[in-house]
Formats: sequence, C-alpha cells, structure tokens
Amino acid sequence: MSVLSAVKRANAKGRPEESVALRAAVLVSVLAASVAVLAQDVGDPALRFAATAGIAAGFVYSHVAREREGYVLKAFLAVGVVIAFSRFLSQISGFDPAELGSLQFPLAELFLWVQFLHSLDVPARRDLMFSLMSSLVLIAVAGVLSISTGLGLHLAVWFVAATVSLVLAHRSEMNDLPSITARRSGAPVSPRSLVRPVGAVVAVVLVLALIAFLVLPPAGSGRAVAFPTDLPNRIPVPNAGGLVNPSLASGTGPATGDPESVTGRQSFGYFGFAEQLDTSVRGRPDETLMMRVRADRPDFWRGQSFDVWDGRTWKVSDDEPEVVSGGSPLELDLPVEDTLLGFGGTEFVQTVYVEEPGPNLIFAAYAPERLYFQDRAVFQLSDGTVRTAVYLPPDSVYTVVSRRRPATEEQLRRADVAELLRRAAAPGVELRPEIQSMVARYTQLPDVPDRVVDLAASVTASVPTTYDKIRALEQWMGANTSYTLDIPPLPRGADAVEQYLFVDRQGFCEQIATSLVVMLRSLGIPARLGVGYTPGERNPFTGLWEVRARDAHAWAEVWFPGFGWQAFDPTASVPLSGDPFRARAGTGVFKWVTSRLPSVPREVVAGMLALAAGATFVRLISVASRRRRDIRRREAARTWADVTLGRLEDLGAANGRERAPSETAARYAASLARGPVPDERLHFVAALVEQEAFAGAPASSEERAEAERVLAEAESRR
Amino acid sequence: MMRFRPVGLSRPALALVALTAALFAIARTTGSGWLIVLLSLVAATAVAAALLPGIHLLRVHVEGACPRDATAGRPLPLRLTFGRPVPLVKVRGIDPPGIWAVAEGAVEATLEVVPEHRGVLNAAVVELRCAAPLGLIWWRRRVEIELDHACSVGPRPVAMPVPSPEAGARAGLEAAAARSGTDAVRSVRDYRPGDPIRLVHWPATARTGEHIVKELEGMALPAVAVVADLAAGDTELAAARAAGVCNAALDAGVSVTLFTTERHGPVAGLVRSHVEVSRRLARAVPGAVAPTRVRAGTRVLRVDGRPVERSHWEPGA
Repeated sequence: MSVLSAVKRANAKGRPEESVALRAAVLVSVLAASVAVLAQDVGDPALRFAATAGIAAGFVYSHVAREREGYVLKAFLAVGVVIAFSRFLSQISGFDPAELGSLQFPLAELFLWVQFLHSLDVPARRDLMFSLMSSLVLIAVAGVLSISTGLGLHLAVWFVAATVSLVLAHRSEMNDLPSITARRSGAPVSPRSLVRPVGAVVAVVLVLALIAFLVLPPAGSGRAVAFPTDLPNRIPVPNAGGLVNPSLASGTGPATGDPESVTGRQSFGYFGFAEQLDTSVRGRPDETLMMRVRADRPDFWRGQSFDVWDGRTWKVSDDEPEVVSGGSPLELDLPVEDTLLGFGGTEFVQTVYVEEPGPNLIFAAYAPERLYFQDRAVFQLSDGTVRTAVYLPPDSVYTVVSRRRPATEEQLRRADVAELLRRAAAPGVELRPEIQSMVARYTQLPDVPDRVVDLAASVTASVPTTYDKIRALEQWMGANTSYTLDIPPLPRGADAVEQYLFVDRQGFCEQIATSLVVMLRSLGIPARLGVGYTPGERNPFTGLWEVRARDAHAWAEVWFPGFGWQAFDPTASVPLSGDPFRARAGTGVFKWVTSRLPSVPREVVAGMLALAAGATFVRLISVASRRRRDIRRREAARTWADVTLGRLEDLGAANGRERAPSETAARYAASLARGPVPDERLHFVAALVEQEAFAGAPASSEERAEAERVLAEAESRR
Repeated sequence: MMRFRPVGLSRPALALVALTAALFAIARTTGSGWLIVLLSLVAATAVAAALLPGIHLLRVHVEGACPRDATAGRPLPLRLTFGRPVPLVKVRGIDPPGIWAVAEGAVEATLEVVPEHRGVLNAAVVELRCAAPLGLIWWRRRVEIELDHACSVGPRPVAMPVPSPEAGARAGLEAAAARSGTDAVRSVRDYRPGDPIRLVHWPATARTGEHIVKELEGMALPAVAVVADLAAGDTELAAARAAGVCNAALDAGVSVTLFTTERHGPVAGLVRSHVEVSRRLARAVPGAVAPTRVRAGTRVLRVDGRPVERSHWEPGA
C-alpha cells in the first residue's frame, strides 16, 4: 500500500455516529478538560469563549451535519489551524531553549484552539474518540499548569465522562453487528441501564488507580527541563539590599509603608525573617499558606542565617550584600566556607510558588547556586542568603537550583571539625586564612554563663566526633527539656540559653537551636542559626510541599570539612542531605485526606457504623430467606417423576455412571441394571417415570411406593 | 490452538498506552503531581480494560443444540444456552463457520452457522470475543460445544436427471396395481404422481386430508440401486450427486437402495425420504463400495465425483 493510499484510508470519512449519548459524553469530557486548562489563567476572552461555548456549539453542529461531506468546512478548519499555529509561533518567537517552562502557556492556548476547531468536524465515532484522546492531552496540560487541588473536581468530571464515553463507544461499535439476543440491533441505550456498568467500572478503576498511585514514583524525580518563573509586578523594596517582611505588621509595605496595603491583614508571618532575631519576642505564626514548593525531596527552605549572638538576640554581621545581576538564570556564588575543601555535590531543583506576601528572601535548600527569577538583579550575602530587590507578591514564581553535598552519618563522623582544628593547633601547621576567619566568625560568643559551657562539656565528654557531640547535645535536650510554643516571657537581663536549659526547661525551635549553636560554639565547633521553613506538608495530588506560616523554623547549621554547612534540628524530621528519601506518589494520601475531613463526634461515627452493620445484617437475612424460599418453591414445583428421575440419576452417578443428556430414563435404567446397579426392578421405576412424565397417566400410590422402595434399597446397597 | 487469550489492542488503546508513557516522562521532568494522578487513572483504566473482558469471558458457560438434520452450505440455527445472562460479547461459529453477531444480557440465543461440508456434527466450535465494558482490549475464547444430539449434515443435492428403472420393474408395478383388489396391504404411503387411482387408500385419505396410497404385498416397485462412490474424484461432489440422484428417484416414485461406505464398513439399504438420503450420505466416507444382493430388474447407478465428461453416473453391472 502506498503512503498516499494509506493517508487516504486514514482520512476516509467514517460512518456517521448516531448515538447522541456518546456525543454528549465526549462533549462533557472535552469541556471538563478545556475548563480545567482555562482555570489555570490560560487564554484571552476570545479563546475562553471558543473553548467553552464554541466547543459545545461545534459538537451540536457536527451532529447536525454528520451526513455531509463538508469540504468547505474542512478548508475553513485547515485555515483556522494554520492561523492558530502562526499565532503560537509568534508567541514563542525569541524563545530561550533553556526555559522550556515559558512554552507551557502558548502551547496550552494552541491546544485549546485546535480542540475548538476539531469540535466542528466530529461526525464519526472515530472522530469522537480522537476528541476524547485530545481531551486527555488537555487535562494533562492542566495538570502540568495546576498547583492546587482545585483541579481535582475537573479531573473527576473528566474521568467519569471519559469512562462513560468509552462504554458508549464500545456499545455503539457493537450495535453495528446483528444481534442474536432479544436486544434490538441499534437500539438506543437507556441512561439507567448504564448506571450499573459504568458505576462498577469507575469503582474498579478507582481502586486500581489508588494502588497505582501508591506504587508509582513521585513526579519530578527525573531531570528537570522546565524552570518556571513569574513576577506579576516589579515594585522595588525601599532599602535596596535590605530586608522587608510584609507578613509582619511592622514590615514595610511596597508603596506606603503600610503592611496592610500589601496583605490587608495583621501579622501572620515569622518575625525571624528580619535583620535580627530577638529570642525574647513571643509570637505564633498562623495557618496561612505562604508558598508551595515543587521539589522531589524535603529539605529546609532556608531564608537566611544569623552569626552574631549577644545572649538574647541574633544578628547578621554581613551588612554589605553583593549585587548579582544578569539574565535568568542568575549565577549565585557558593559561600566560600562550602568550597574551602572541595565542594562537589548534586543539583537540587526547587520551584517556589508564592501564595502570600512574605519577606524578600529567596527560600531554597542550602546552598543556592542558580536562580531563575524575572528580575535582573538580586542581593547575596556571604552566607548564601539571597534577597530580592523587589517585593514578592502572590503568584510570584521562582526556581532555584541548589548544590547539595550529600552527607550521611558515617561521612559526617569521619569529617570531624574538632580533629581538623586539633591538627591545625600542632606546631608548624597553619590553617588557611579563609578557614581561620570562618572559624573565628562562627565560634564567637559573648559571656556565656559557665553552667552552659560546663553542660556542653560534660554532655559531650565521652563522645569522640563532632557529629556525635551534636547528637549527644540534642539527646540531652530531648530528655531534659520539653517542646512547647507557650513559654513564659524571657526575664529582663536573663540569658536566653541559660533560661531555657536550666530554668524554664521548655521552649520551641528558637530556644532549642540557639542553645545547640551556643553550646557547640563553646566547644569550638563552627555553628550558626539558620531560619526558614520546614518542608511543610506534601500534597500527594499536586506533588508540592505546602508551606504555611506556622512552618517557619530555626535550626542549627554546623560546618564540616569537605561537606560545608549541614543543618541539624532535633524538632523537625528533615533527613540529612545524604539520607535516601523513598516516597511513592501517593505517600501520605490517606493522612492528607482524613485531615481534611470534617471532624465528626465519635458517637456519631459509632452510630453510623452500627447502623451500617445492622442494615448489612438485615440485607443478608433477607437475601438468605429469599433464596431459601426460591429453593422451596422450585422443589414444590417438581413432579414425582422429576424427583424420582433425579434419584435415579443420583444413584447412577454415585455408581460411576452418569446419565447422558440424550438418554431416556428407560435406556438409562437398563444400562444401570446391566452394569453398576444390577437390579432388574429399575426397569419398572423407569417405566413409571416415563408413564407419568410423558403418557399423562399418573402412577398409582402403590406403584409410586414400590418404585421408591426399589430406589431406597438400591441406594442403601451403595 | 490458544483457546483463551487477548487478541489485540484497539486504536484508542494504543493511543492510551502511548499517552501513558508520555505522561510518565512529562511528570518525571516537570514534577507535576497531577500528572501522576492522571497517569494512575489512565493506567488503571488500561488495566481494567485489559482484565475485565477476560474475566467476563471466563465466566461464560455455553451449551448448544441444533436440529438433527442440516445441509452443507445452508444456514443451520445453533441454539446457544449461556449459564447466566451473557455480557456484551460478539460470537461467531468457527466450525461450522458463521458471521459475527452480538449477544448481550440473554441466557439463550440462536446463532446462525453454515456447515461447509457434510458430515456428522457432534460438537460445534464457537468463538466469543469480548472487550466490554471499555472496548479497548479484546479477548477471545474458543469454546467447543458438545451438542445434545448429533446433527447430520447432508450434501447439498445437485440437480440430476431422474433415473429410469428397468422396463421389467415398471411392468411389475402395473401388474401389481391390477391385482390390488386381492393382495394384502403391506403399508401405506403418500401419493406420488403416476400412482394408479385404484391404489388410493380412501379411509386414510379421508382421515388425513392428504392422498394416501396402498403398497401391496408382492408388488414389485420400480427400483434403482445408487452406488455412491466417494473415493472417485471429488468426494463432496460425489455425495451431492448421489443425493441429487436419490432425491430425484424418490420424487419419481422409484424405490432407491443406497450403497455407501461408512466408517465401520459398507452399508446398503432402502432409503425412503430425502432426510434418510441426507443422513446416509452425511455418514458416508470414501471407500470401496459395491452393490450386493440387488434384486433382479433393479437398475444399478454408480455415482462419483469425477468430471462430467468422465461420466459422473452410469449404469452399473
């Protein structure tokens, strides 16, 4: 077959589809997918109209004109596709291959236009199936663009409509064949008759899908090809290079300095995202969703770190941020401490979707190396902190590629900073100046109460390595203090660490991390306080980490030779950078769902369960009694001849000779009498059966009794 | 022969498989969790589409029945009984063959098959195919159905000239008719054109409403002996010709003795109706066949399947 004839055959007009139900089901699938894409802020008003009302009208027209050849229409559609494609090409002119993400919206618009044009010419079942498949592509496009669970509703509607479409298409296909049962060939399918099969298949598919969801690997484990960015507006912060935090009532608004001009509300963020962190301040960030992070493993989304401690307050010593400018991506400098003794590591891509106005900090796993951001410049501090020059309003999107040096427990045990410093103290050995200055910067302490220093020394006296010292201090705090957000105010003049370790013995992340850093510094180990967010809650459907204001956190960062800064925190279960993170796509789905169900009193749940159990019990009793009734009725309907023939058959079967379907009672009885049941009286039994069954002459009661006696005797001889 | 297996993917199924692979690749590179949800749904749909038809087919139990007599090349109704209401399946006969038809929801259905050859059918093979409910992946199952009784598929008779019996036999018939008032009645039969009016059995005719004639003791019917030699030439053609000759002779009121070979050896016997002819020829197999114990005055006709120019039927010895 030549290519031309193959193309002709592939494009041959199919038989018009008559099933309105099938057409309607496919239309619902296509509309659900189109609306799902439009809900991601895709398209202008013209496209929105075409992708909704236009598609619906197109399907109606296709049905009405299904018998026509439609050459003019096909020409019109061809022109339409060319225009849509030209528009797409013009939208992506100047496209940077490094930013595949920028293709997503023009591509989604092109898909919608093509879907609209195609809807005008779907006369045959094959065309409808093509529409159904393209609706799958559209819903996938929506899936790529969506970062919220709102897509779930569209997906549910699409899935049910697509399933109904497949069922109806199969029935329509089968209707083309002659029927050999009572069902009339080509008869329309009543919606009621579909409810059960479609319901059953939807249930089966959902169960299988749940299993697949729990087994499949999570999204995004492969190599990233798209690095989304967005910045709805560019409003510069008032203090270029400085820090603003509109989520705090004391923060600075973009235009007027009034925080409510940005947030419209009082403080909901974390006061640690500021130039200094006062541990005597008490506050409780709320449930506000601050950002969503797309990443294939959890990590601390670090905002900044503090290096100077005065007994109550942490400060940042570096007040000269460097400007990093250029095109996207912005190449950031890795902190010098991390590159001192070699820094290989792996790339870790994270995309942050800002939901609420927050500080102008770039949150990312340590250490950020490349930043995809829609502004030409950012400010970077020596500790890796990145501040933007503009506010980060809601719907801002940036992607950070961090370089992580995977480290496991064993590796960190071997990379002992105390050992390095001990060796450096030997005569004739001198540390490199960068290391010396780093050690000096991150081990400086004010006058720390002696009992704090003594405690650190005593707890770590018997452990050999830096890593084990950290763990020993964490364990001590875990055993001797308790975690709570409700702690008393810090008395005036009190040392925050001493107050936590020896007086209150309760605190939250700030007290715990500060105490850990201070005690480590007292042992000569370089450490600092990092602040940012814990990974948040992973949404199993979107695959994004949902980070709320309450996830704001402080932790200790400890320097290890060859591994740079590593985060330690006894209160948040964030794995070490080298620990494997084994999750499936559906990990946590049950917890995620149940945590969102309305809480129902236990008594109500118990009552409902009891009601369900009772209803099931009644149903089972009802079914069982109906079956028993049916059996009795059938037994009652059997004649004496039926019963006797049945006994004769059972007798033969028990003796290894079953009755053939075509065998008469007389021949069967004769066969039995000649073989396995040598009793000539079986002829008499069979004759009675045939007489009563076929001659219409009922046997007398004496004859029946005699026949039953013969059978009973034969049965007893078995 | 694999009796139960999937038979192939439909185009939408192929598209679905391709899109599933694409979804997985995109999900892995973009990190979109929704794509994994969608992928799970699509994969689950594909699995359901692959398994459910097979389960449906496995649960179908088929029994069959058909008339006792059939003719090769002519439709034969095969009555199928399913153990339970059958799911949406298409079914066709394989042996004997037939065309696809749809069965759904019924416990009984009649499938039309067309036996291609004569023979005795003790079983039929039907093929069921199912892709329900999603129509993406087809499974097939071939079922050999033991018929509740054998079905004799006779040859499709070829139109043949009426064989003329020997002159002596015809004279005997006339003579017997003349003596009909004195001879004892051996049996009665349906009237055939040419029967003497005196042989009409009036009481039976009145009772049945059809003309019935008497056959008298000692009455010598015109007779032919048809020797069906299926070993010479085309077997089926020989059988069809034999059926044509026998039927034509019977229609002409000629007594027919049919000589055939069956599986267990040569068989000879009077055939009294088309059905008997059909059943005898259904059982006939190629083999040596020779007319024996032929009454005097009987014309022997040998019928075979050789080309016409080589005399497809001829007077025997």
